[in-house]
Amino acid sequence: MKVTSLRNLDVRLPLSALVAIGFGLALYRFYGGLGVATNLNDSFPWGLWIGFDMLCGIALAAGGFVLAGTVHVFGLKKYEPFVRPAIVTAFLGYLLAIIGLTLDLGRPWAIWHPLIMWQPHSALFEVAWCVMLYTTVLFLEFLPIVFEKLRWSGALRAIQRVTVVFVFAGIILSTMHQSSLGSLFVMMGHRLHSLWFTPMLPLLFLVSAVAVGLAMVIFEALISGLIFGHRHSIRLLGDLAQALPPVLGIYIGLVLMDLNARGVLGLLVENSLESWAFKIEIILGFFLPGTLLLSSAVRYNRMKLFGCVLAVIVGVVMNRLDVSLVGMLATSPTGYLPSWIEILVTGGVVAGGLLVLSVMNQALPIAKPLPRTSFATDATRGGGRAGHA
Amino acid sequence: MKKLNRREFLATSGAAASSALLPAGEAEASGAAPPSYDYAEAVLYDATRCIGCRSCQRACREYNGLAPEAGELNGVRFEMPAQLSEEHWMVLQVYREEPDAAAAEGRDPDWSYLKRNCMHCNVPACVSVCPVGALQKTDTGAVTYDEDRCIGCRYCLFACPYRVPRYEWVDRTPRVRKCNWNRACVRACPVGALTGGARAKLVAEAHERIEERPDRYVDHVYGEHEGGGTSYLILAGVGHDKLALPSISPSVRSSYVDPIMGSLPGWIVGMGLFLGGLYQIERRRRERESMRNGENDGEGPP
Ligand code: SF4
Ligand code: SF4
Ligand code: SF4
Repeated sequence: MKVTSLRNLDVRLPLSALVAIGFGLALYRFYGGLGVATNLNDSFPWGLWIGFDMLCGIALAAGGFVLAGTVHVFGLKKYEPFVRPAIVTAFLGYLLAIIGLTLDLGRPWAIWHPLIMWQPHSALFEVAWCVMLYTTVLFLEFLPIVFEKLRWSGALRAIQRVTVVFVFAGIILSTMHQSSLGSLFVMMGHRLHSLWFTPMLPLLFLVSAVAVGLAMVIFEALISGLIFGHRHSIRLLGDLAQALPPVLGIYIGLVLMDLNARGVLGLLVENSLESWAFKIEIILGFFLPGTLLLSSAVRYNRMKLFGCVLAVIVGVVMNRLDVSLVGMLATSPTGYLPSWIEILVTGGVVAGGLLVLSVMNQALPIAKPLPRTSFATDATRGGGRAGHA
Repeated sequence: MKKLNRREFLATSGAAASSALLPAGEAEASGAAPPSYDYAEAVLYDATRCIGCRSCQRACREYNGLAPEAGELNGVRFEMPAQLSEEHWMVLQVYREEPDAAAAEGRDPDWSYLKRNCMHCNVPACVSVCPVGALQKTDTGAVTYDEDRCIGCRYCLFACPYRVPRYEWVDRTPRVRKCNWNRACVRACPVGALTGGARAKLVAEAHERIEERPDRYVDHVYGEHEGGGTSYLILAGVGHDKLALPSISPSVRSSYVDPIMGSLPGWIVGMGLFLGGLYQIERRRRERESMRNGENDGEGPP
């Protein structure tokens, strides 16, 4: 543990510096206005903060509901050790997305307006509600970890008795939320390149979120194995990765069907920025890992598995940036490249997330598998034990 | 009255929901009639009558207290802005055809003025995407903006097919800016290029003008059907594509999103039942298993 804490400091100092820089620049953005700090303009109103902080942040947080569903609803208890890290990551991911959103909103002090000013025709209204509700659910799913640390066995038992309700609510809310981020762009047929624009966007966003959720869980387990040493057996990780090829396959199938139905398959052979971005995204992020992971030699090898899940993560991040930024370039007379302030602020937000994660990993029983967790029946049956844990 | 239109809007979206995932063309054919706002105040702009004096642009600026138009006064040129911005909610644009292209066909180059501002759509995309209802279509035909509701998400800027709303980018308390349908421009026009009145009447009048002088006009009242129709109607001697006005299908633009939003209650209930069912099955299986284990435990040791 001593070695780890030294290593921790090495990582935490630069991270803190990034957070400080990002914070300062964020203040500047509030002082001068969005136009001063960002490269946004009337023809390109959403930039990196929506494209990365919001869209990618939420997509990468999908592991929370995917794992909760796998373990608690489908009853695959052997994956239980991954649930807590996934919940913590998802919780952080959502908090970061909220910070990104606060920076991006022109009138952030009015961020609560969707609570009382209803406009249920708007996909953004749905997004706002899902963010609020699911962050609350994630917080409640996160609480047992804190209670356990504090040894509040009464509170722990009480909250574990209703866990299944959170799990259900969490799954319903996240599936809605992941897809609603796609619905946002369904109104943008006149802006978004036809390779990405389709009324199916909500479904595509949901399926790719499930894929990247799984990939993130495996990715984190491998990384934390490298840093903290408590490695999950490669058997378990490889078994979990078995779910990826079907999900990636469904995604590719849906995309090709959709391109074909809209009669734009021909765009794939074009030699344009959009066409290349699309091809790289689909081949690198979906086709390659989807095919490679079919082989058990790849799945049960740490390095190869790592490469595959990393490809999925990069592919989905590319997809979100393509939909929100690259696909919008052609229809904007000015174009858009994020300003250095936008990039550094995003860097600061991500660094903040990693910093909190590293502190939490040390202070809270996150990675430690527990004897009995999170089920009403389990809690009543093994209730006595929870207090000792 | 306000309620009626609201209901009309909802009815439309409901009808659109039935055409959920059909391609745009078929959705059109299934024909959900958008609210017409036939008796709301509309404005007809006849580009062939416009003399380009820009009195309308000046009236707009004065009425709304906007900054003077760009350029230097003493000495150098004084230029009128040609693009909408947060300080210019209405601009007069000029289209001129390439002389060579026209000469090749042995005719004079086409040209036209174009008065650009918010179209005040019957089913406005900006209204349907705004998460807090800061933008509203009122019974007067106007699409209004309420800065006290706005959260500054700028979704309206993205969603408007005519790219009308502008944003105060360099401002600590930014607002969305666009034409508010006060019709100061109509009152200012010295030659009757702008006509105000009930929408149905103006549409009829526009068609009459086309019929009387087919040589003068392109046979298209822009805004009659575009995206469900608009309260600002444009009549010109040059095709709208040349004037850089977008071609928009008559189907209601929000028809893609409404079925998605409409499916949510079903999704919540369905997912709830599905997850609940799975969970019950799973729990029974586990109980049976633990019972079996218990029996084994009991039988095992002795
Ligand atoms: S033109 Fe644009 S801003 Fe004006 S009402 Fe229509 S959608 Fe809204
Ligand atoms: S910027 Fe304001 S008016 Fe426009 S969609 Fe967002 S909340 Fe509504
Ligand atoms: S005031 Fe009338 S004639 Fe003058 S520019 Fe405006 S519309 Fe044209």
